[in-house]
Amino acid sequence: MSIPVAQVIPSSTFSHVGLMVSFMSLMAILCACSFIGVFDMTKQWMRDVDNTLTIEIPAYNTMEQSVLSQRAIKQNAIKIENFLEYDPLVTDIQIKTFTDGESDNDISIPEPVFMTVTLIEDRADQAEERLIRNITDLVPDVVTQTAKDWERDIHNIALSLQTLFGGLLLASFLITIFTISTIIKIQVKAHAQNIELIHLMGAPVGLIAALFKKSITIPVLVGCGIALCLACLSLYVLLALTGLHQNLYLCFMIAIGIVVIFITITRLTTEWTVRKALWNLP
Amino acid sequence: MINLAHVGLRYDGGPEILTDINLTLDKGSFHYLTGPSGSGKTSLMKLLFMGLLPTRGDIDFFGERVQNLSRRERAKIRQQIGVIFQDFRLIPHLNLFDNMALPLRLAHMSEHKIQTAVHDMAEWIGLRDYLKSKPAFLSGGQQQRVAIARAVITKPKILLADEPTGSLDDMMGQKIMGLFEELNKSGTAVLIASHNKILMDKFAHPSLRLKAGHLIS
Repeated sequence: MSIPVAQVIPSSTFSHVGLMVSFMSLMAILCACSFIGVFDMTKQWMRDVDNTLTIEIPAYNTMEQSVLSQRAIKQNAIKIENFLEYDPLVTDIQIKTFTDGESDNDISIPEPVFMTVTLIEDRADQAEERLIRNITDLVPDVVTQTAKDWERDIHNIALSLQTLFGGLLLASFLITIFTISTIIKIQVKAHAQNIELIHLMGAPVGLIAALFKKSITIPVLVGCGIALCLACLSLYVLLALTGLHQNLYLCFMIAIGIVVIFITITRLTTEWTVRKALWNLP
Repeated sequence: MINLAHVGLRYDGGPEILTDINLTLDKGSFHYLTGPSGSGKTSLMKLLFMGLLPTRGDIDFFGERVQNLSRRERAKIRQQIGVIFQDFRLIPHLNLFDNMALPLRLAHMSEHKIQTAVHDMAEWIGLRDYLKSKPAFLSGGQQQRVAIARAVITKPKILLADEPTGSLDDMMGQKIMGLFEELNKSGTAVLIASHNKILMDKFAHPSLRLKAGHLIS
């Protein structure tokens, strides 16, 4: 394009757009990274809090059935890392106090079995559900105690936060599109005479749109560059503080991606708005 | 070059401003366009540089019906038409150099050729020392000279001028008319809307008269 931008509109016209895009892209980057951060943090909480579950095998009529069912769980219930059983000796002594010294081996009292199993995989990955399903298939009367209720609360809070950050991210895109579209419309009106003049001299609408794009891209690039620097600095500090520094690389990639999206949005919105505004030119 | 057949024009459903206009501008033709104020001279000029499209009839540019041309094709044709506006229409934030260079840049001419062409033209119109000035710092006559220079700098195939000498003194007016005649001799079709009878008598060419939207040759 041999025609300078300043031929249509003064070069300072869009300097404030850079500031707006800078703010919006910074907000978008932080929101997107917060979205990822909350997701990872929730997983971390689940992993750290309690990755165990208690299983109670009800008392059977014979010891053989109880042993068989325990053995079946040990042999077949996958994803079990560790078993913690109630010590049979302790149980035996407790029973003897009620049976005048006779052991359960002598009288064959059926007894329940309690186990604590540690899940190999995270709760968040539905390992718990899979394990309960497997145990229930083997021992239909099994009673399990899980942390599902408070898990649901954590999930709900995380989901709310993720919705909030996702909403803010979407809002930042929409606000940018709306603002740029409005500014371009105003500038097209403000410079209508110059635009009409160069149109009558033989400038196609595509060239006029390209001039607008060129003139708005420069301040937007500067704004996005500033936002990227600020975002990287903030992310570095925030992720270090929250212990999620393993996400640093991913967040930097997201930041760069968002900046590219903002530049693309700006250029597309400008092109579309100019073409629409000049649609009625003969 | 341009042919108008039974052309009519009305603005937004109002009364017809131009009625049944038939006109041909051939290569090397030179016409004056006269008529009282409000007779439709400016509207006819706008039709001729595709600033407006007719509401009735056909306009052909270089054998192509204007309604059938794409926007890009129209832009190409406009680059071959030089227009001098009555109100000059210089771009206020550009200096004289850039105002004059604008049509050359639209034609993708190299910067070296633009420099040469603009300096030569500025020399000719006597404004070489003002090339870095903004239009606001020039008199009406100087602005008109710049507007003329901008229109003729590409040596267009068609030159349309609306009162091109209105703000010029007699000597400069004659100089400009001489320039138009030179261009005309090299094949440019010239149409000048003017009320200046002295110049029209001195540089005699056929006149087209508009009266209440009707063209009377």
